Amino acid sequence: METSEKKINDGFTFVSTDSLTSEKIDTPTYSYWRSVGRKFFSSKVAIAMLILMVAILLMAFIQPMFSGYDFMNVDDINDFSKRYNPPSMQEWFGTDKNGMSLFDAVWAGAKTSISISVLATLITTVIGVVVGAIWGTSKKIDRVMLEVYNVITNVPQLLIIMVLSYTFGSGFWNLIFAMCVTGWLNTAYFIRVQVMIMRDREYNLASKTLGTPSMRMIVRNILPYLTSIIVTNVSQSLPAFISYETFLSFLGVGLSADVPSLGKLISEYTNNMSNYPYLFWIPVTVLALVSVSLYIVGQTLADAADPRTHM
Amino acid sequence: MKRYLLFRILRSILSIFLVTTLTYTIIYSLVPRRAVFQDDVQYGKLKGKPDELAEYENTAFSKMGYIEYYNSKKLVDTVKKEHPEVSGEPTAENQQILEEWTKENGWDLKQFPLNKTYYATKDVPLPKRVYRFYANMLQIDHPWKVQDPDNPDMKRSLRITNDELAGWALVGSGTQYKYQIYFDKQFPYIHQNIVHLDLGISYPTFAGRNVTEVIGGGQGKSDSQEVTFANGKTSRSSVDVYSRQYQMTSQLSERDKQLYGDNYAHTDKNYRDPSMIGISFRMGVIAVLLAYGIGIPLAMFMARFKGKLPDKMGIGLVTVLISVPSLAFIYFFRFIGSRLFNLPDSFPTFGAGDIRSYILPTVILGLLSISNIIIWIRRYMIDQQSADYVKFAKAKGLNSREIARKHIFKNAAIPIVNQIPMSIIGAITGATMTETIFAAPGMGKMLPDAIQAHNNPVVMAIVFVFTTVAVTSVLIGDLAMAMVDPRINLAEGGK
Repeated sequence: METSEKKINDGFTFVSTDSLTSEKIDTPTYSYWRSVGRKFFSSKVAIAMLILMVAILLMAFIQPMFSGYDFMNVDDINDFSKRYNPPSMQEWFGTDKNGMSLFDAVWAGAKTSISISVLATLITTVIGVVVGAIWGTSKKIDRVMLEVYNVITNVPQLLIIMVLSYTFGSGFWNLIFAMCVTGWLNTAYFIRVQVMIMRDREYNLASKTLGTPSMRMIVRNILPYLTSIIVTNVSQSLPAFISYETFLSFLGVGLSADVPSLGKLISEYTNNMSNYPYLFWIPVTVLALVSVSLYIVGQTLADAADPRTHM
Repeated sequence: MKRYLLFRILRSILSIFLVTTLTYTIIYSLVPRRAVFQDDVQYGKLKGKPDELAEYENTAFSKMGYIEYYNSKKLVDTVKKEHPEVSGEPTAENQQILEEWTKENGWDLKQFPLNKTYYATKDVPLPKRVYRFYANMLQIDHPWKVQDPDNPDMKRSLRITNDELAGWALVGSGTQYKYQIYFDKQFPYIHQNIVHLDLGISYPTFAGRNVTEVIGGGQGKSDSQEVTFANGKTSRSSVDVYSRQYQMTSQLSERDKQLYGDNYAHTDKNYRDPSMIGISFRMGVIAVLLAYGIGIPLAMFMARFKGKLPDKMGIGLVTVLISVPSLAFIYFFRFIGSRLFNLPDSFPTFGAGDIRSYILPTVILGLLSISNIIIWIRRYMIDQQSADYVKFAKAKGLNSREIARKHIFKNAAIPIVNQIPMSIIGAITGATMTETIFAAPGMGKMLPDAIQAHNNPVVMAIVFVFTTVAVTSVLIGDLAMAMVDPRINLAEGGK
């Protein structure tokens, strides 16, 4: 017996039980947000876009505080040496027909455009998710809401916004109100479909038979699954609202005359496209950069927010 | 299925009705009615003459349906039927009688500021205006339509004749339009004048013209052709002889009578350029064909090489296309088009007669929708790629190109078929931006223009057209989907 035991022990050494190490090689600790962060920062494009986005946001929200830019200021209009200066070291983005620095104008405009799109997205998403979650779970509400949706989405949104801006006047908050007053319905409809897909899954049926109240089912069972979908929706609607604000300013509705925005700059400098192209292309480029960075950061965040990709 | 279709159509009509009513209510209650005169040149000129200004204002409001308006003459004539002693002079007795009458009938008695004569207005409540809008909308022609006191022995008939002006046609007498059904050389070759849409009268832009004519009638310079009239004279004229309408004998000029030989002397003109609806429709349909023509092959290509270089490059491109604001996108491509290909960057440069004017707006319109098409078709194709029938086809020895083209695409096309009618509509109605930037005279540009000019009747008409088209397209999309895929049954619970 002794010989056989010796044979077994050849090349092996006995180890004492160590409860501490055994804890460690157990399943690794999982933190949702840490995994999201790890997944997000593994994409080089996303990091580059995040840096770009933060840089633009900081410029847009800090620079106007120092520049003292006033859209309606025409002090230098008679100073010919200040008019139509092409971009140089002194005037980074050049000057326009009133002798105003385009650099100041672009950041003041970006501030308005970004604020509008962020606020409008926030409002429509919050209302849309709450209403959409209830809409998707209740079949009675669904029947009514579908007809409401059919009717309201067929009224041109442009018409509603323009008519509202006539009645309540144009301005920053009025524009946000006009954008949100019908905009939430689209988000709600989108969430409704997603909720309906989740609603009849087995685990929810089981939960229902166990007597979970529907409010709890929405909040605990369904919405966590929709995190990535909601983030995708947010990342799409941010550039969409910027685009929409640009379009409205281009048409000359929405914002009042003294509020600068990227759309307003673009529409104002359209005439200068052939003689002073920098006036037109710089705001367009900034607008495109804002949208692209917001969108790509949002998309990557949405991918990272999906726990199925964390493994 | 028939039953389902019937109810579906009824529901569509109901939603068109609801949308139009809602829009009508929004426009006519929220837009301040004063705003109508904001950019009216005529109105500004009259500011020095308060009497004419009041007359002008009230006539405009009554044309738009806000109020009913009796000017001095009509007011006195109406009141005279009950109180023969009344006259238009601003005396105390007259005022009393008029005041009594107006109070009884729900009118407001007012005085012109300078010459002090009386007039009366009556606000039309919103439900009544909505009712009138719908009641007048469909105009159906029939032989008892025209009631002309100066022409009592007019024959009332409908018969098929070989007319010297219009050729073989269903010719009416006593009807509003002379040619009820006629043939000509323009698509769709057979035309009718029996049913007409009446959407009101345009004001303040295109003042006095019928809204239907503003949107659906020709534009630009008038187009003259050789026309032989009833009296045998041939001359170059731009009249559209097919549009002959009854002219009241009291308003009929001697020349018209000679030219046409009867009372049907009121005609529309032929124009060189297509209508707003026509321009938008042409550009929209071609843009959609273009978008699908490029989008489908690209998406198929990307799906076949999923995760490889072509797919990654495609996704990168699509991401940029989605996130760049449409306005910047349009300007960018307009710049490229005009610099590299020497195409006009504005529609009126060469006008509607030149094909070069259409190229850039149409191509850009198509490109705008392409990213969405690519994303979804790629998604459908990839979802199908893991299906069992694909594995079976592979096992049978088909190569991947054959599988993609003959099997996967056929299945992936089902949701696409559903989308096509909607994209066509979307392209027509969504052309607001391209049409504004290129200054193309289409319907998309007309909508913001009309809202800005406070041209409420035209706004209503465009909303009505857009909604009808949108609702119909959803219906056609569903039917097309059910036709392509026999498994889809739209009706609940079997046939």
